[in-house]
Amino acid sequence: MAIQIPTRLLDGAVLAFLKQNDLYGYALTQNVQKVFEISESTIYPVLRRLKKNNYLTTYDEPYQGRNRRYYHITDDGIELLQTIQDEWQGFSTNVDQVLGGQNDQSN
Amino acid sequence: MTKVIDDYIFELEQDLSGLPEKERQDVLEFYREFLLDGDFVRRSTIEQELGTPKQLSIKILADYSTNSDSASVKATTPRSNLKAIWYILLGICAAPIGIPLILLIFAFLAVCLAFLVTLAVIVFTFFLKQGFLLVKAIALLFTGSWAAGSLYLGKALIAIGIVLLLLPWLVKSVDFLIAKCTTAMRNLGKNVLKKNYFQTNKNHKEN
Repeated sequence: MAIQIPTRLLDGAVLAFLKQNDLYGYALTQNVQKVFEISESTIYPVLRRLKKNNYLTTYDEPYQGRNRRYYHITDDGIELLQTIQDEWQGFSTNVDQVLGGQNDQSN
Repeated sequence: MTKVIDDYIFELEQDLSGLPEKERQDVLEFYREFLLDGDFVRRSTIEQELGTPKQLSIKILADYSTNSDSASVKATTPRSNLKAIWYILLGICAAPIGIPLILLIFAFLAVCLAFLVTLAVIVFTFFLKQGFLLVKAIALLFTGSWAAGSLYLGKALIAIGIVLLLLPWLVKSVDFLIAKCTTAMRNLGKNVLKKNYFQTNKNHKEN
């Protein structure tokens, strides 16, 4: 009884959080896990891919004698986020018509 | 306190020896940081979240192998292709999918392997046979039928020459076959792994 989360939405969620703030790995994982029930090992591949495609960049900041790697969304990333948001709007509107809470009789 | 984390990361590093150096450092750094930030102090809780180092490494390697076909990676060689196939295979086996699919994959790989082995055997026997003929022909040269001997010698040399000329082409087509298998595995891996990696545990309300 599981709805599978498309990578596209996962990308979208990660980008959406990063648009608000630069985040480090653990915090970002926590945030995404509040929305999707994903395993801890899911996030790294997503970040790796987004970074490779220049949707985000990283920088290190010292923290308690070690480094924390922060993720920062790029202009390309913001653009992609907008695209995904639009796609999701259309998709969720359609699904809501069939499965949404207020079940009006759609054709 | 961080000894548990260091140990875990160390073991993970051992299991990731197949990754390029930079990639390995990146992923190790990510998980080290992750564990430190999450204040993990017990091995059991770490393994509950991430799995054993071995399990995690399989996921990492499978992901790396499935998603490294884009331009950025160094030129692929048959060796690196075979490595990629192997990692993806491990990843697929680790993912909770049906046994039939795994059997199917193994059957497919077995056929490929059988094909390669047959090819190797054919080439090998050919050289063996021609070498044998060569020796016999040379022996004939010193007998009364030296003319027949030189004919056979010439034939054997021509045959070996032709196959030697064809060999690079043969090797190329084997490489090509392996590359095709890798692509097929990548696509399969992408489908299987993605599905299982991002699976939710229970329904979730969007919006």
